[in-house]
Amino acid sequence: MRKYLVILLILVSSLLLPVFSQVIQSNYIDVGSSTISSNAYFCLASISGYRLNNYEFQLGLQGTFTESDRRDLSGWFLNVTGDYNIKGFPFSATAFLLRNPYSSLTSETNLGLIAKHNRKHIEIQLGYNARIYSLKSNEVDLSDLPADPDLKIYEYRNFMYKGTLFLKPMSSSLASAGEQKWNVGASFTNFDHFLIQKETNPIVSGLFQYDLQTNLRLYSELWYQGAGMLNLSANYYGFYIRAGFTWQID
Amino acid sequence: MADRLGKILLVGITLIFVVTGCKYDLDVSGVVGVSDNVNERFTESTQWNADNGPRLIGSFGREYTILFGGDSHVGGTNNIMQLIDIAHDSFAKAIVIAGDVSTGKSEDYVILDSVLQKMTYVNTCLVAGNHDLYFDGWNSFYKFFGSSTYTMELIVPFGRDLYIFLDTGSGTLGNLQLDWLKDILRTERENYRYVIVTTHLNFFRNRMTGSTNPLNEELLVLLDLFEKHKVNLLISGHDHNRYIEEFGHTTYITLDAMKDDAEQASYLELRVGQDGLNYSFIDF
Repeated sequence: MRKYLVILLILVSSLLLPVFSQVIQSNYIDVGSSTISSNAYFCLASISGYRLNNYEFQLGLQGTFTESDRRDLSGWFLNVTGDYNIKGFPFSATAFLLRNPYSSLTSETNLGLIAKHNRKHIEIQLGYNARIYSLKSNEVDLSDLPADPDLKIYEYRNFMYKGTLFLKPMSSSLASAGEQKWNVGASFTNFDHFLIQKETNPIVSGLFQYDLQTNLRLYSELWYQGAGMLNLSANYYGFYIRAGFTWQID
Repeated sequence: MADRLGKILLVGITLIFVVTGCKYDLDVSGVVGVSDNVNERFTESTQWNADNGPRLIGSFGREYTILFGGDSHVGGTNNIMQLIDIAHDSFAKAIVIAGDVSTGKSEDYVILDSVLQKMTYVNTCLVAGNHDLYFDGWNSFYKFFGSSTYTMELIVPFGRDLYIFLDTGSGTLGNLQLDWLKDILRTERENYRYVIVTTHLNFFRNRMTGSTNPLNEELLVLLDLFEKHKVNLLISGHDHNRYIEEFGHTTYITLDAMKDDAEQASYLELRVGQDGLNYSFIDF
């Protein structure tokens, strides 16, 4: 039942928010497999952005449907992004709050800042996040714990990075994408919309995007997650394939 | 410009890998993958467990002691020899080394085996760390010490304690080992007084370091699992710096390295009694 509520929530947010002007709506589906999924899993995500002058406010929702113990509403985030230009150096800066309620007992919260700079063929993002792992007190058996048990673990230091190399010159926005109908790229990173790995666990991905209209982009991505690469003892961990669209409504 | 920067970066990274690889006994080919992946090692480990039977230790006292060390990185044997002497003198029930027992080189496994042969009545429990897998090290690990995923049961007059040893040498448990762990905790936890898990990888990062932890989704699965089943202790190595975190019912301990040239080489003495689990770090 909860699964259908999550799907409904994602659909409603996808359909209602574009009613307002200056909205960028993105929806995608991930299908993948990993060490922790008994079989294949799939995620449904909605990212709604509202643009106001040089600022964009984003709400992201993700549902994960898998056989593991994971909650159906497996992630949500709030982002605020500002576009800046300092002495001819354009960049954007994003402050974010990301929640991953893994189960009714265990969850993860991330707070962070990330800066993005685009060159002709390269997009670079660098950031920093603090992470909190939490246990929900009313789900923990407190009877055999001290009066004030530790139910949170803080990790204050995590470096975020993403470098993407595009084959063709990038367009700065969907609306100005007319000169490039399609593009392909490859990324090296430790984060995705609803996931931030520790800095020593990089992910690689490849992407293809096609602009169906000046305000509608289709895209597909393949993500590969390895484990232990920086321990020089690498092992396959998982992969997922993404298909989605971004729709800019002015 | 970008092209030149790319080339400089590539040459720089290659040089770093080559120099650090030579200096620190690293097998840089492992960045692509190890010859035996974690599912294959798990399958071999379970076969070894089936062939060799369960590990059972009895204790008649009210309290018993187990000594934990991590990252001995044999070749050098001074600290590990010292730990063996301490274990004999203190009538410890077992020595546990939480991975990176050796450099992975076959000649160092021979040295390690000859050192551990000196143990007469103290049990040895080893798990594989990433260094143990370098230079096709799993073959030597398996040949000399067998399994890297297993349980050990300690039977005392007041109950039974379960020790679970996990292979995290490749940065992940892999789906087979994870299912095995879930199954053991689900079916066996209620039969034991304490459950103590040993892995090589430490779970949390309290500092910026190049050492790798489990992937975040896998870590959430393990945190959830450990709390649901009230795992008492997780003892790990890998980071070479002691660190303790309490989280619900589980205490997560990262050990210092005990290799001979470590700045703060120490081991952990775990005393298990009716009043609970008491531990202390003791410097070499």
